[in-house]
Amino acid sequence: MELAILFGTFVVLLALGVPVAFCLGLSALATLLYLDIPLIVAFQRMAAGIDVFALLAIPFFIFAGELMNQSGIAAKLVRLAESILGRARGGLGQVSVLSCMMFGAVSGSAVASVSAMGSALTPIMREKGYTRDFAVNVTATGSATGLLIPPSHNMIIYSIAAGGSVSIVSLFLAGVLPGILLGLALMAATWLVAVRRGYPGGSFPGWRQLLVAFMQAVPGLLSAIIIVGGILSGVFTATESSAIAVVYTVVIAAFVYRSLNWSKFVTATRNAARTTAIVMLIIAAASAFGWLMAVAEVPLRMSEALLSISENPLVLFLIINLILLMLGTFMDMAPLIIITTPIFLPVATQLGMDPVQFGVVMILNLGIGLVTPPVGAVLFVGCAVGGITIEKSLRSIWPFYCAMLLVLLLVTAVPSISLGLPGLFE
Amino acid sequence: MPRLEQQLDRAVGKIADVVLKAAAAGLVVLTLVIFWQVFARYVLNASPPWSEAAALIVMVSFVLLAAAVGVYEKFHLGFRWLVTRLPIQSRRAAFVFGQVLILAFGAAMAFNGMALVDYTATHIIPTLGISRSVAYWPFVACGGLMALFACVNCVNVFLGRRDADPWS
Repeated sequence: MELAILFGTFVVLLALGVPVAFCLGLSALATLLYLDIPLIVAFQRMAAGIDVFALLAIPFFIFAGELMNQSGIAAKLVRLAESILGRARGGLGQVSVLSCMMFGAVSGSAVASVSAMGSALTPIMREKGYTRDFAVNVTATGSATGLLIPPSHNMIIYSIAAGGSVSIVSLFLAGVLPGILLGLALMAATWLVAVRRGYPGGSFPGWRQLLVAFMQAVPGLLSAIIIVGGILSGVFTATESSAIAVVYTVVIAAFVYRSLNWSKFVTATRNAARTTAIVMLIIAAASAFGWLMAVAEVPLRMSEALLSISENPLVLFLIINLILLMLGTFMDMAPLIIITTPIFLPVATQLGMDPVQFGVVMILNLGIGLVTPPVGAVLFVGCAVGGITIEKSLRSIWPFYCAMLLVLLLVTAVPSISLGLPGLFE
Repeated sequence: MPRLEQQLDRAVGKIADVVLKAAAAGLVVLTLVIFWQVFARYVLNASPPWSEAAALIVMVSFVLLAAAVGVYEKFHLGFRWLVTRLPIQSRRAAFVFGQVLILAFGAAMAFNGMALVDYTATHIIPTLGISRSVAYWPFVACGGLMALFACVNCVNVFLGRRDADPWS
């Protein structure tokens, strides 16, 4: 009965448009009332859920991404990508994917990426004769690469949801190859669509221009190197490196690029506070919700149910992928990571999947959900920036979905894609 | 003379703005605390013992303050695909129902947060030398503000235009 109250209340409130964090918190309170447990337990769990040092990296990554967005570092990355890939068929589409990969590496946020890249590239693409739906689809799906390429704050949430037993460094490293693979698959899809629609290629600007674009982008790209290099070398923790990245971004944006003034800094700070509050309130409420799931033995029951369906690991991984994909279309990543990790991680490890690989599979699954209606925050932002409706975007997004699903299958079936790089650093 | 709901909205909007500014300042303070931790460790060769505990308190405080503003600014993520397909009157009813629940949640958070403050009043955080209850005061403030903002959102729906989208 307590399960029916927990999940029933959650689903009804979600359908009524109540924000996710409150759906989680209120369903936890309703279940506590039914179980005759004092409500204070829910708030104790909420406090404990966010009183975690590793979570401090989340506001910093979000803050650094906002600062980069406000200070126009995205435009420098676009210029570099254009110099490298502009001459390819459907060149600006390829530029968009590569720019999203680079911006994802420096900001770690798919929403920040689609917003920055969409604003920078859609007008240029329209000018060169590309349709709006193509521009939106390429940018929105390309932004999902940023969820895998480090730093990714969702990897930190996964590490914490897994009980802190999965190393953040391993997760960051594990996301690199799948992120690059996803970028390449999206570039291939872009090429196919460009050929079918007859989009032109651009011209090579010359080595001199390429060098200039590279030099201008280097200070921005260095922040990713500081974060990953700092963590790998053991100089900083993930939290410290993310704080250093914020300070570094302020310094280069204000004094090197001279593109960050006080007003932009204030806007970035306020936006970062808002985004962090959204994520952290969800994490806090999901902690109370997750505690009740553990009390009701949901992970154990789910694990038994899944293992009774089939003994074939691949079949079970496909089922888990389908469930995560479906859930990802309805809900945001953070609560899903916290709620589903304790349920599916034990099953995945029992079937022989490494927790690090499972983390990458989960992030990729939920990342596809971010560009899929009815919720799909990244697709919504992409459509808003590109000025088209979701329906129009969906009519032509299928090649990009196929590319993403293909990479998901590969990452699920081939462990070395995600585990190869962490293995080299062990 | 502005209408009642405009006066109310303006006054509460100012509170929300001040609270968000305080939260944004908290984010800057948080960055400085962790930056100082790294600077002190590598440059001064003396890692500050207080930085981690202080950073966590600052983070919880600014996150909860900004989260409360989210109720007023309606920036919390939700699944609105279904309700946006309802007629406007049903949409307004769903919104008010949700806000009443948020009000109740906020009140419960403030009340239980106060109980946590009482329980921990005599516990001292060793590295900071202050009471652990400091970490729970943000729950009281956040809960109270959430209840206030949810209440104002309901009043705005009742006093505002009947065809206005409550989520806008």
